[in-house]
Amino acid sequence: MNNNLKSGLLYFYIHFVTEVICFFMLYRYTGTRPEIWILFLSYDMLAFVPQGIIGFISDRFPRIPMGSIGLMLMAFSALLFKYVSNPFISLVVLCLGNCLVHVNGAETTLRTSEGKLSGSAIFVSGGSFGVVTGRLLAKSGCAFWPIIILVLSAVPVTLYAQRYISDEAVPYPEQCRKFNYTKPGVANWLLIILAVAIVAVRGFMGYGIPTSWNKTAVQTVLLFSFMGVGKALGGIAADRAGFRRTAMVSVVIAAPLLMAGDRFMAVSLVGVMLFSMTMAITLGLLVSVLPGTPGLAFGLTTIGLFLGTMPVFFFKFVTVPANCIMIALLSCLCLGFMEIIIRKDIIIRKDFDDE
Amino acid sequence: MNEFVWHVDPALLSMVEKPLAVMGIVFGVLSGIIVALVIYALRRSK
Repeated sequence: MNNNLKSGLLYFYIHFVTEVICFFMLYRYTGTRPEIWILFLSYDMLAFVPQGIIGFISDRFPRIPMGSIGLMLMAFSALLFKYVSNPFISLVVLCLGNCLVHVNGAETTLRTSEGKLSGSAIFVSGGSFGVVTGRLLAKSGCAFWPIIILVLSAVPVTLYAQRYISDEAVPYPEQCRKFNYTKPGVANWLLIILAVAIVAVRGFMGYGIPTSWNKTAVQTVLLFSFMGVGKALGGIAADRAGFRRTAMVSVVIAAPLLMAGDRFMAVSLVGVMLFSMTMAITLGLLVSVLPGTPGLAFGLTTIGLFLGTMPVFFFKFVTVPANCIMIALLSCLCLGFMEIIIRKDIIIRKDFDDE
Repeated sequence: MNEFVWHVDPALLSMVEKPLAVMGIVFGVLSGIIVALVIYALRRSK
């Protein structure tokens, strides 16, 4: 197993732990207060938007152990929540910790990747499992201290995983130069806008997926698990079967399955899995445009995610047909954008043969 | 048929006007900084 896959697996755990504490805390903040959605909106903004800035700082100073600092900040935020009455103070510290861990995971998995996406996709996929675990633990009435111990358990893992960057023979500014997935001749600013737009459109679509079958905790766990598996598969398939092919095929097949899966769990789960596969694709596109600043590129994907999820806090489609029409139209839009910015496939298989 | 509706109760929205305004300003500032960083990174990479 190469360093990229090793770091991907280690950051899978770190990302899992990060989302466990974030969603555990969020559902603890919420309680039964009616105006609580503002906390969720604040969390989305404070955890997603600053990642671009933190990513840029991390690009300039890659030796800063941002992951470990982030994990300790999140553990500290749990203590603040317990002992400080204003939940926003704890929320800000939690979000800052979240940003640092995400950026660190992206930096490490991208810099060790030699232009491939598997490691980053495995890192990203850990979040889905963490989100559902954190929610269930909060609802089960779990105490704070096991969560704090869980978070602190990831600190040595982060320190160990981060050494893979310094083990690289290639100097820091050159480590992501092999990312080359964008179509030649398209202006960089247009590539960035369209890649961020794809993330935003997908983010918005995600909230409209009709899942009336989802009624029990087990079904929720299945939904998030398939989402996580899809995110990892997106990167693995892009490396093996081709970047463009994976992007196009996953969107084309996912749309009808999502629309038909309102009452059929198996159909819906496969749709959700395919739908999640584009996550790694958009990251690969943005790193191709900004290979010298992979942290900033990763931050742009999280801004796209925020822009896509923000409208959901204010508006939503309320019927299944309206959601289906929205999924169909937005899938076509995504395909159009991908057609404009993704280059023809160049398949590299060397590393898989080495395994 | 109104298929596209307000998700948030307007009364509730009025309760959180101030934090929403603060968040809007923070978002504007952060987005501005990020756009500047992207322009800087693109110029440097040429």
